[in-house]
Amino acid sequence: MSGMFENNLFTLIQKTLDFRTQRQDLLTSNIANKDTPGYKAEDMVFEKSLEKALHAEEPGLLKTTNSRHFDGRNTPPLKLVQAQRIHSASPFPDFDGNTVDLDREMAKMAENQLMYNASIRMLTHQFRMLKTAITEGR
Amino acid sequence: MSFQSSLNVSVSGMTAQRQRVNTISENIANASTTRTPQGGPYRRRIVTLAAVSNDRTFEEELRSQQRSLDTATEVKVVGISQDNRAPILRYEPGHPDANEEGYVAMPNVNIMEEMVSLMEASRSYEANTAAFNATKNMAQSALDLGRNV
Repeated sequence: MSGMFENNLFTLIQKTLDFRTQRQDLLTSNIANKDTPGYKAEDMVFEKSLEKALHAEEPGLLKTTNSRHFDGRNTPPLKLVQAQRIHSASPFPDFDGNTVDLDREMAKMAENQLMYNASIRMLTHQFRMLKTAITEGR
Repeated sequence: MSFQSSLNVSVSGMTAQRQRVNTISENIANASTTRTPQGGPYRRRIVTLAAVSNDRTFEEELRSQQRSLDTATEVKVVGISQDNRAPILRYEPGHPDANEEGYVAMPNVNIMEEMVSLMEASRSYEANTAAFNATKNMAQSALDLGRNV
């Protein structure tokens, strides 16, 4: 039996929050280093791999008759998903080799912040639903 | 704590930009200083910034090695150097520091250049405060988690 807090949704939100915190690190670093010569802007992508992992437990392309059979799909389970770090070079780098585009970084940071808060709100909602069940709807 | 490292990065940015503003103000204030303790006119100063991975505790280091992620990169002022451009010669025969031909060696400070750098530094400072507030907002909402369940 899986625990009350061990379903896919909780793991997904937990992972999302983790990645958003790490991404915030990268974005603040980009902003702090916007005048550092030669600094390369970085970003992080995780949406696709999370989405893939979310469906990892569904049956794959090949039919399996045993849980240890390989079903032709090669996706890590949700708990082990890693984010990918990418260079988010601006199309017009400075003459000193710096690739930070401040407007883009600010926009990304606002997005990251909103999505983080949205995830938190979803988590609160989940808790509220559990509480409704526990108190039998009263 | 990951939020803390984000906040530290923004603070390092603000410190670096403040240092830049200080140096620029020094350049502007001394734009017509012809005497210095080293002799000769004042020479323009330049701040050099560099990206550094922040200091971490053993635990943080271990964790980042496990995840193979080292996401926070602080910025630091690594040095204040002198601009080696030649002093600007201005014809002013009455000046006490004028040479035999009546030229005074003035500092190699260009006010326009300094004003542009000043604006850039102050905008960068603002960007860092915005980043700081965004991170603080995220931390705050995490803190409020479960309060109104």
